[in-house]
Amino acid sequence: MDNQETQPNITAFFASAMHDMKNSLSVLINFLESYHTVLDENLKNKVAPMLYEVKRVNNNLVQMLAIYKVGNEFYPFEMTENSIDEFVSEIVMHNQTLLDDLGVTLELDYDKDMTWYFDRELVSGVTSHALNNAMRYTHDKLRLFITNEDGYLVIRVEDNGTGYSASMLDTGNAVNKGVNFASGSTGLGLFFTSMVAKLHKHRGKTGSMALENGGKFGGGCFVLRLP
Amino acid sequence: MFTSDSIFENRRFLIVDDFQGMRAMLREMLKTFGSKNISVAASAKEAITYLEQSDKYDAVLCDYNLGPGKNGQQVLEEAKFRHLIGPATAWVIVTAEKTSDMVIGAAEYMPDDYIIKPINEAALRSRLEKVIAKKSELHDIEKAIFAKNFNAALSLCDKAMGSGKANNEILRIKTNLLLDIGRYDKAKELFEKILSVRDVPWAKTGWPKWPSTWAKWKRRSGCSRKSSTKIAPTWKPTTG
Repeated sequence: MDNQETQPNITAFFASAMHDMKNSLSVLINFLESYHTVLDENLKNKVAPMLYEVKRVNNNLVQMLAIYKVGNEFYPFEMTENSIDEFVSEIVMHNQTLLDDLGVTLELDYDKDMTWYFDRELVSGVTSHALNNAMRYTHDKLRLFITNEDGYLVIRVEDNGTGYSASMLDTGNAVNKGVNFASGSTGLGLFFTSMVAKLHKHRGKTGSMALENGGKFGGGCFVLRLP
Repeated sequence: MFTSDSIFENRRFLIVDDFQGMRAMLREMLKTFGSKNISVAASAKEAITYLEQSDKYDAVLCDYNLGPGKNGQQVLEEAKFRHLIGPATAWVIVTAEKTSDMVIGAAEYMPDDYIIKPINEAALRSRLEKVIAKKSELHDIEKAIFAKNFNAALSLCDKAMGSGKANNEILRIKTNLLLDIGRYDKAKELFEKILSVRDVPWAKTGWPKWPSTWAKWKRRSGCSRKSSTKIAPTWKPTTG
């Protein structure tokens, strides 16, 4: 009597489905990014929102999968040493097309000699999500500011938009405290971020996230702290 | 911003992916970087055939998920086990998601890097350049160790490290090397320096309980010089 043969392996299904979806998304994103260089202004303006939407789908997939794996305790969490310069370069590469299309300038502020220990995939996911979000709400400037503060790596994504609403700030605080007010896509991104922050622990310190208004431009600030 | 095209021009690449769209995309990207020698396989079986028949590839871009049959990690293991790839061959796994295969496992059968899809052209180029350069550095260090040029190996280690770079892998090799040649004072200094900043697992377990007998034990247990850059014990891959 072998029950294992009749029980579907959910994880295997997910892995296979993820493989398929990521392949499709890769082709889509690659197409949209490579054609944008040859399109005229009029068409570029139509393509940019499409690229934004496709990236959102990808980000949501990444977040959902990570949450599923962490929730079931089989996410291969790995605190590796990362060059901050490389980390930032890759984030910029992944977002450059969209930034250009939306006419947003990204200011970078970090120490090129810095390295830090964190799970590269998760933190890239969080930072990309924050950037994509900020691109939507900013006026025309973004700043990625990474620094070492009191033994924490602090990653800040600041925009020059009108800032977060009071309810948004409340949601940010609530999610960080572990109380989930929001649902839907806003909730997903924040929950994912908070989860990633909390996974990072070192010598009694734990990561955290925050939403604030202020920063260099006086707009919205996304803040991630990692020990 | 990018290094000259010759890093791609003079190297042999193998792409392994079960999805036609991905194969085409990766091939186009490599061509854009200047690659002139690109083989493309659509399955694990085809990949092994290419690896068996050809001279050693310089770099392999292999999807983790290759449909039914072996996955990219298993192809890597078979390729390493059967010496179908050389010690200087860079192996990058392209994957939809990070799996535990990429985190745990015998050190000598780990890929040199993994890239999560969707793949950005500029990011791929940058990663490949770094992986190929690092592989070359590691290979030089390994050669020096094998030839018992320990001082040369140590200075190659130092040369490979840099501020702003993730130096852990080289530091691990250096500490292992220092222990091997009996420089316990220097090894201890290095371990303590690392651990003062961060509780890095390999550094915590790396300092042996009785350092003075470390070198003797290694000789007795027959650990060969060839594998001294890798920390994990010898292990047979799960093939078939």
